[in-house]
Amino acid sequence: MTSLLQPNLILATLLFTIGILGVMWKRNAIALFMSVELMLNAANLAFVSFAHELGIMSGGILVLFVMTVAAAEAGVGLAIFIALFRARRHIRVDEHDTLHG
Amino acid sequence: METAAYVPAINLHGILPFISLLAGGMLCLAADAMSGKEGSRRILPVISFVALAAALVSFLLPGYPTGSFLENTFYSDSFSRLGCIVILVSAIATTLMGPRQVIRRNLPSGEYYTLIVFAALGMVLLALANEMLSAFVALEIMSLSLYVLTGIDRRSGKSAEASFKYFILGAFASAFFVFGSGFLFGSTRTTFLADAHNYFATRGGNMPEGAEMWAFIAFGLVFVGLCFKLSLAPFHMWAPDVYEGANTPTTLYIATGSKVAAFAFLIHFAHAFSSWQIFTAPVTFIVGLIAVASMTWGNIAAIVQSNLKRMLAYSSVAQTGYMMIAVMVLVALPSLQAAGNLNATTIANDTTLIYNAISLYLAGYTIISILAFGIAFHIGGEGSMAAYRGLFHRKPFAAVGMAIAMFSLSGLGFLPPTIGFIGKFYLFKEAVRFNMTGIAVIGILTSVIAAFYYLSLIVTMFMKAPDEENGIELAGRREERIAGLGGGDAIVRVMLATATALIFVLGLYPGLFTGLAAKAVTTKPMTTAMVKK
Repeated sequence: MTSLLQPNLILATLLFTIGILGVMWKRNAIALFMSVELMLNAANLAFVSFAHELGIMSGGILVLFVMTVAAAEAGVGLAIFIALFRARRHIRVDEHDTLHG
Repeated sequence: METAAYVPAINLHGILPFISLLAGGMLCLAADAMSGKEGSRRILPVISFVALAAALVSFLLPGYPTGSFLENTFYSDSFSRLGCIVILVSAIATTLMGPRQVIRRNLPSGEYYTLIVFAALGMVLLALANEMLSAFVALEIMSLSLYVLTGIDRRSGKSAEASFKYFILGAFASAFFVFGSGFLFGSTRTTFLADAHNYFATRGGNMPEGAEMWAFIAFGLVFVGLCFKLSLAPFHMWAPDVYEGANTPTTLYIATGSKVAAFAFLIHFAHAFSSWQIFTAPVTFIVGLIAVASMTWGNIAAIVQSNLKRMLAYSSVAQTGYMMIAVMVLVALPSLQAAGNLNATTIANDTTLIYNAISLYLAGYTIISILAFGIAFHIGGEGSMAAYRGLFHRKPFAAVGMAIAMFSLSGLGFLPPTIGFIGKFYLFKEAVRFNMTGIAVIGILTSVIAAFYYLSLIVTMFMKAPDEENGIELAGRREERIAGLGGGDAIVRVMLATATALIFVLGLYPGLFTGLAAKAVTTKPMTTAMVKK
């Protein structure tokens, strides 16, 4: 059986890059957050494929922690978005520019 | 065949600070649920103060373990221990400003104090972490608490906007951190930094195909993630907005506690790679580049700021840039050793000296920040420069304190020597000693640029006439007066006086502090031969 490590890593890197581009270009807070989640899941994919290739369990277990933290992050993040929406009535990123020098 | 149940060795003293912080945070939550609004405003500062002070004392007690503990997940050496002490001091300062801040903006005190304590837990864990997963979880405990603390003032659009920016860029940085950890795991087969260090020491020369590249990617990604947290130059864009939008105690906390924690972990992380021969040259270069970028850009951008908190944000970008000089020297040490310039006994001494310099610098930066942000908080007005016009004529003590902070931060205060000057002096001295004169010169030149805006603030405070309309009755002060300050005002004054005294005492006798560092030696020497604990 050929190793799936290399294609998996390429996929993970691709997802991570898409996430970075999304954070840079997207203008909606929810879309930004989705891009960040995509990056975290790319990291998870890398971890699982390494753990599978090396036959070490800890890499797979680590993914569970990352997912838990991502869930907590989603909770806090959405709460922040709601607070921002209440204050400004929209969550379009490029229009939040009251803080500047 | 029967195997005995595996019982992990737990060093109780080692985890005592964690327990005290966790219990303190939980107690805050419970007490808030059980008492009314007024009651929790009174009792929660006490609980969080006691929890933070208990954690601080357990770090100061002589029996605190050195070396690895909790199954190698954490590593305490004199540097990370001093880092923890500094973190807890900044957390205590934040708590002491709490009562007034809560009244001023009518904040929910339950969340406010609980999150300060939990953030302190995350910071302490991060500063001691020696394993990628623990570091990530600690980083997130810290960051999530700080995002909410930034946006806790829900009626203020600025606060929500700052929190939003901090959250998006913080989560972005965390993703870099995790992705990098994945590659570190892939190349060294472990998430434990001590094992990674050994792996690089034994197999660094002939690593399997691909592993070498993965290790470089790993360092790069985790380093970028930490650069975001440290607000180093190309990755600092969140800092000014967050510093301005967050309430001032939280700004202080972000500027000191979270930076010290991330910095302490960066040192642990860089140490894992230090046994890898081909690693040092490129990484010394990259770290140097980041340091130069932060020092120059931070100091230049600070000049044009019209808000004190934004100015201090850019100044802290520059200050972190100075800290990176120490990282650069530490990373370069093994290659200097390999070149035969140093021998094994001096390298241990050298490492201790560098750690002393950087501990002193971190402590100095924190104490000065406590003074500067504390006075900004005391004055009120959310950092607008109007509040500082002619401050000397209205509040002479506050103006003098701010002037001391600015002199000290700029590194100009050498007569009498302040801790800001001494910290910079030792840092540059170490850089020159290891033939990195170039970066020391850039550091000194950028300090001169920095003097410009620090001094212009002093001019504003002392030589301009006060602005009658918006100077006297600033936002929040009225609410405080109506609600009755209680002891809050006196506590903040005592705190500021103590910080001022420490700036001079530690400036005159840095030995008091470095002696503390030397007593608890066993900093990890950055050598190729790792002593197994």
